[in-house]
Amino acid sequence: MNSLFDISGLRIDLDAHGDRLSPVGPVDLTLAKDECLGIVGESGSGKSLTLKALLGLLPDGLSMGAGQIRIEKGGDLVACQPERLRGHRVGLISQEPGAALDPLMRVGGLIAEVVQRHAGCSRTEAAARAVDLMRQVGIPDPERRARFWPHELSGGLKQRIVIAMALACDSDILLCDEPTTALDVTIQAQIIRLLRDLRDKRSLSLIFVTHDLALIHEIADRVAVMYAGLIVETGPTEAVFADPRHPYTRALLAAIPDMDSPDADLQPIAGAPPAATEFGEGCRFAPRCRMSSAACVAGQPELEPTGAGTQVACVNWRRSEKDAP
Amino acid sequence: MMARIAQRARRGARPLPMKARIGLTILAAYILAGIFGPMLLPFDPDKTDILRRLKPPSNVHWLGTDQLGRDFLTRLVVAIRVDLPIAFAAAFFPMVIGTALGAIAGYYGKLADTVVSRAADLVQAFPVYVFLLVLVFALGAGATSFIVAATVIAWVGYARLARGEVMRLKSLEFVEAARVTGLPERVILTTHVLPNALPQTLIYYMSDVVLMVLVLSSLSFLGVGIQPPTAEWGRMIAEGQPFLRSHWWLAAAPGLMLMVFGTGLSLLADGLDDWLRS
Repeated sequence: MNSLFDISGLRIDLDAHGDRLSPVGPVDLTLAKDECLGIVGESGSGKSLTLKALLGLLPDGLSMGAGQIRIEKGGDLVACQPERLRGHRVGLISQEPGAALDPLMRVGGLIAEVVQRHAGCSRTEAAARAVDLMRQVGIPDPERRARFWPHELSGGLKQRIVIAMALACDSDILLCDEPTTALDVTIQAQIIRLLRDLRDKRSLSLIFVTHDLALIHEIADRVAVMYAGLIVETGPTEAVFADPRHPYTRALLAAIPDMDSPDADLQPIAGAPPAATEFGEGCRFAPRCRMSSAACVAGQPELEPTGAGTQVACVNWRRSEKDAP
Repeated sequence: MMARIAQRARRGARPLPMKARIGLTILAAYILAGIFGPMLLPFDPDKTDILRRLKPPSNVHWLGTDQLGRDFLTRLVVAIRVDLPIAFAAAFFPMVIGTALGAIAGYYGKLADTVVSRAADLVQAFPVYVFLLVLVFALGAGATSFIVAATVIAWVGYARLARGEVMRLKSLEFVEAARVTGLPERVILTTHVLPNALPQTLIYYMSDVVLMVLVLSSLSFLGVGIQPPTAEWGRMIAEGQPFLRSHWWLAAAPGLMLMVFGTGLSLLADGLDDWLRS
């Protein structure tokens, strides 16, 4: 596989009065060219923090404790500082498009500012290219809309502006942090279609973070399931969805309402994910796991290949749900 | 900033509140009177006529004459040209310096924040009027030394305001978004953070001008501000004081000029604040 972006051993540390807590990691991720990697997990599983760490945008108090980020350059993977990725190779689309736009700048100006910075062209040229980018992200009547303030645009159009800003940097990797969560369903579908189109036309590679499994199934080529700061299962989307091996993945899929049998009870996962202070020696999912055994609390299981193209971090992955006591 | 306010008003998104309109009208009236009043009034504000001193209001001298026989209305109006520009300037320089220092402190934190915050504490440790009097005495009475002294003291308020606003703004997502697009920190601060902090600063500036015009007239009243024979409201109150029982308006009228100006500008600041927040 041709790696474009490779993260190995990423660990995010929280400095708590001298004690080191690691809410995330170690995490390994690989993104191939033109691929869409989906990261799923519930709130607090560390998926958004992982994205922020990749751009050096961790909030105060958190830091990247270990790990290496490598990016493809001239056929080789070279190590890179996260701050250096900003503004050219890697772009970020965030959850709340309204908050990501400076309310005191016209949207055309926001894009033009990035173009000017990136391409070093003149003001008028940057403005023209901003309009062109707005057309590329499917904004109707871009000449007129370029003169709008952010508050005059709808959520979907604002998200398109954010995407245009990322394109203005000529990024080849887009990190999408729940880009459609704040939008309603029809707009969601449009944005997903746009991201897919751009991926094909501009050969973008995406890392797509969400808790929406249906969305992941639709857009991602490969998926990584995160739980309590660790990847518990990863592999091609089809394989993971068809035959989930980790009890957490199974439970997640079982918790989706089934449209064909609307009367069937939902199967919730009992309990809540642990906080970073509660991480024990063993498997972090063990306290909520229906299949947990003595081996589970002995040590954190490593990801191991299952043979079906997926990797899973569970000592009991060979057992099926029915074997559970 | 002003362009944006004007634009918002033009677009008619929200009408300006009544208090802002009243304030704006009063401010406009003062500025127009200051510009055109002296041209329309036939008297020389500084020409004394000892034989016509302390005349009551009449057809010729609408507000009478003062203790040196100068036309009192002319002096009241000419004083606008003294009090207003000095007050606006005495609040403007601290605004520029204080906002810049506060923004740097709030944005970069660490050493910059420590230095600016401790310097602000140092200035604030002195009582305002005592510090101001000392500075004006040291620099010599007059408009320039008043502006310099005001700048030394008043930057603190702007710095604290800008520091707080910038700290709030820098944690917002659009600042992070600007960082993601690779803009350097200096550019993010000046083009994305500061413009968003400016409305609050501008409103604080207006109320600061009110304070400055009162401080200026107080100092002039005490004899360390604007020197005679220049017409200045605080000085005129001091000069009218001995005649309070027979010619009360000589002290009351400049006081009224101060009061109406202060009220007008405060109303404008308050109304704009409501308007920008709503």
